[in-house]
Amino acid sequence: MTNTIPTRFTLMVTKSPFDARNAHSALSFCAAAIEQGHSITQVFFYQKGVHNASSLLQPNADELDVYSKWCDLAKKHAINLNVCVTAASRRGVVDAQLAPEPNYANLVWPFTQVGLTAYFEALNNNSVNIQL
Amino acid sequence: MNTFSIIVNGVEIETDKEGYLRKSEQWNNEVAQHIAYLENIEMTGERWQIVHFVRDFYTTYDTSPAMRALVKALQRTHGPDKGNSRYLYRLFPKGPAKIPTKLAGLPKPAKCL
Amino acid sequence: MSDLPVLQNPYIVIQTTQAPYSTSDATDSLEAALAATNIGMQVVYIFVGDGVYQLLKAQQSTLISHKSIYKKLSALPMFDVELIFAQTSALTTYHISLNDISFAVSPISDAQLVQICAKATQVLVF
Repeated sequence: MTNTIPTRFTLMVTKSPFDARNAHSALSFCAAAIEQGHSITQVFFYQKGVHNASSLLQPNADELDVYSKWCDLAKKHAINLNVCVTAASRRGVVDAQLAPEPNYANLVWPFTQVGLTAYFEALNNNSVNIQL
Repeated sequence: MNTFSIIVNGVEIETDKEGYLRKSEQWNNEVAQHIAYLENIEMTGERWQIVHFVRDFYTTYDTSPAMRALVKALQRTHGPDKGNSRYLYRLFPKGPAKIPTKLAGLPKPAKCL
Repeated sequence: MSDLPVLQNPYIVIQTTQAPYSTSDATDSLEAALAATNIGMQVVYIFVGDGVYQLLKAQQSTLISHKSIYKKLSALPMFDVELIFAQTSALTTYHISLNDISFAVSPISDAQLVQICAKATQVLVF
């Protein structure tokens, strides 16, 4: 690979794991981008994409564990995993504050609840948006 | 789980935990008066005007007006004297769009907006 | 077809491409537009393909216990979304007229759609 100018990417994930391959594609994209010296400013989960953030996901043992992959990615490369709070609470993905009881929360670090405006703020930051 | 209510004239009216009505069609002026009492707000003519305006906005657009939209809509109908955020802050210091929305019996505006 | 307005400031495009009620896309694209203008971004909102069905004024969404997408859309100008377009080819295909719509929507050709998107800082499609 020749030298490339580093680009800042923002990803918007809009489909749920298992039902669609979009999350797999997003994960591969992040890995490839980082390997080539680019950076990921945030991954934003919107629409059905918020299901990626549920800590209760239980894929079969021989299937890709999307949730763990997101957590690994976030911890290894300090990437913000931002979840649209309105889209998530509508779909029952809630943090300790929104859950009826704190221990019902299925949205935990490294995922964070934010507003849609946070996503657009990151876009303003000269990053290239990838929606999938 | 998660049920709260107020009682106005002997009628039980369901709200969310912050006091916003669950069913906006249960609203009337007496309900607004009751919410105002709970919020420690005295309902003057100016405040009623905004509450009814917010209610009309919702009927027209199926959307609770956030601050910017409320100011713009007020400007169009009532001119710059009332269509500005300072006027709304003076009437509803605790939330110039949120409080009239609540008094008008409407759902809380979406969190991320 | 009139000339396109000259868009001088940076803007993002939001394309809404789905019918109003079968999925949540119409609502989600609308909420994205409101959030973007909330931080002062200029938004160009475009109805593309099946998205033009959202512009049918006579939709009676209360029959399916849903708020009206049409009514919500008509609030866009109140949220500072003033540049609203609809793809002419889709309007023709589905026999939808812009005449009785209560907010300003301008028809654009497919070529104009491409031009608008080409100059945008970002394009989101729902």
